[in-house]
Amino acid sequence: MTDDNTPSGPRQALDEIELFERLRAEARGERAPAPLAARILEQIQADTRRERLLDVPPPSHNGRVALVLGLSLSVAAGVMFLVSRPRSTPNIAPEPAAGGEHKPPLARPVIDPCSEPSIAAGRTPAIDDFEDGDDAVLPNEQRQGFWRWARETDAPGTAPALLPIPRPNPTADNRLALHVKGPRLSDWGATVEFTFRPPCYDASKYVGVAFAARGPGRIYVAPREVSVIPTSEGGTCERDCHNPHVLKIDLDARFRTYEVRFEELRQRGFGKLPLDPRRLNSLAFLVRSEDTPYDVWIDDVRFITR
Amino acid sequence: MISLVKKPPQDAAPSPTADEDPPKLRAPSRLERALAHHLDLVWRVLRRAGLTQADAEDAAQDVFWVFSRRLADVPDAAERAFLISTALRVAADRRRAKWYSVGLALDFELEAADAPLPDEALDRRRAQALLDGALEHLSAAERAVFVLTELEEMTRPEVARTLEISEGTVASRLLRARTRFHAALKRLCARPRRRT
Repeated sequence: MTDDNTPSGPRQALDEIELFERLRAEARGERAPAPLAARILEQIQADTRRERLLDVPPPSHNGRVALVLGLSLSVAAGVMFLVSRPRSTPNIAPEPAAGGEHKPPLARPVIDPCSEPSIAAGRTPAIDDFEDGDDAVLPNEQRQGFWRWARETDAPGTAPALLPIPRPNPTADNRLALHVKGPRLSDWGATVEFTFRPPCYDASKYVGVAFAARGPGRIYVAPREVSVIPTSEGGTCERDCHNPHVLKIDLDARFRTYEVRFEELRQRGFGKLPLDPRRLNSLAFLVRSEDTPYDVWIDDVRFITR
Repeated sequence: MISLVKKPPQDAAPSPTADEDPPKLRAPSRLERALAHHLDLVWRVLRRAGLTQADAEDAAQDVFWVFSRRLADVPDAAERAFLISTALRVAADRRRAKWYSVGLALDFELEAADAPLPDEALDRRRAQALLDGALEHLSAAERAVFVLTELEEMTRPEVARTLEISEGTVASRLLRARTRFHAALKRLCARPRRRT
């Protein structure tokens, strides 16, 4: 706690403690803006009403279902009519909240990318062995995609393509592998990933993912469902996104093969559902900021057959 | 789940006379209670996670929206932990979406460096800029532990449960975070300040 340019000793330590106590008191004293609670409540209630209007209730509810159904359909038809009006017609939008930017209506339809998924047959599990030297995954069972190395320091949309390079201790059958190495990161870290094209892949004929990797360090394996990918990136998630099902892997200083079953993957949070392998958007190997600097090799990525 | 009872217009009805029944008070919904009890905490977590005021307002709405849709999954006793962990994820999500960590860190540092040192009349805004400027030097994981432990004064077991990490990890991240935070704070305080 000493500094060459400033007086050292107990007095300085006392000043630092005092300063931190003041900062802490200020931080503890910070309150949300007064109207925020009412605005949040109002918005959530409006969303709930809108969702109820757009939802068709299940037919077995009770005797009033026909009436409710009729009303709902009428309202939905009215809403659809309003939505489909020409653009020149002024939209009736909620008044923007004071101090905050205008948020569009939350019940806008989300296009489900899994309405027409590519489906794995379960007979050709190899995803990529990198021996072809390009960044494309192997075109087995309708799989398409390109390996990318995304880092928190990259500008949006500029994650570089990741090409394989000669691996340590190569053999005649296994010469190339992916390699990423980087400095300390402070936010969400970095990923090695590819996105399925089209962005929904049904891998339910398989039971997991296997790969070879070498550290040092730690990575998280994350086959990502469309439900954790924001709608702006082709998924179906509107809030609390980027929370994929993951499994932590402690890497070794030499190549080892790891097998991760879908059922072993967990999402953070309460009451989360298991991974649905019918709705995969991408496959990622995550390096979290707490595990940086990093130096990771990845090779021979494949699905695990039943 | 969410009460849709409308409040009467403020200037509509006269106050009840002795002959009339008093207006029935509606019990607040769980969402309303959560907002009343935890909004300030969620707000601070979002702000200390590096969101601007405008971003934090939107993010707070997202946090309680997620909560409103997960009421059945979240036991009462875990409500606070759920809201904090959701707030941290939503903040990380927003940072990731904006990819603004580098630029923001520089802005914070400039703002904090230009601020006068806190004295007896500690200026709230400048103190917060100084605090956030120092927090920017922590990784997201260290920052979460530091904010919850040091600023929100949660216990280590509580932080471990909230962040779904072990208590040992909480301790080690806290140690690193303290070191980095105090070093950053010292640097920010030592930098020459612009006179206005």
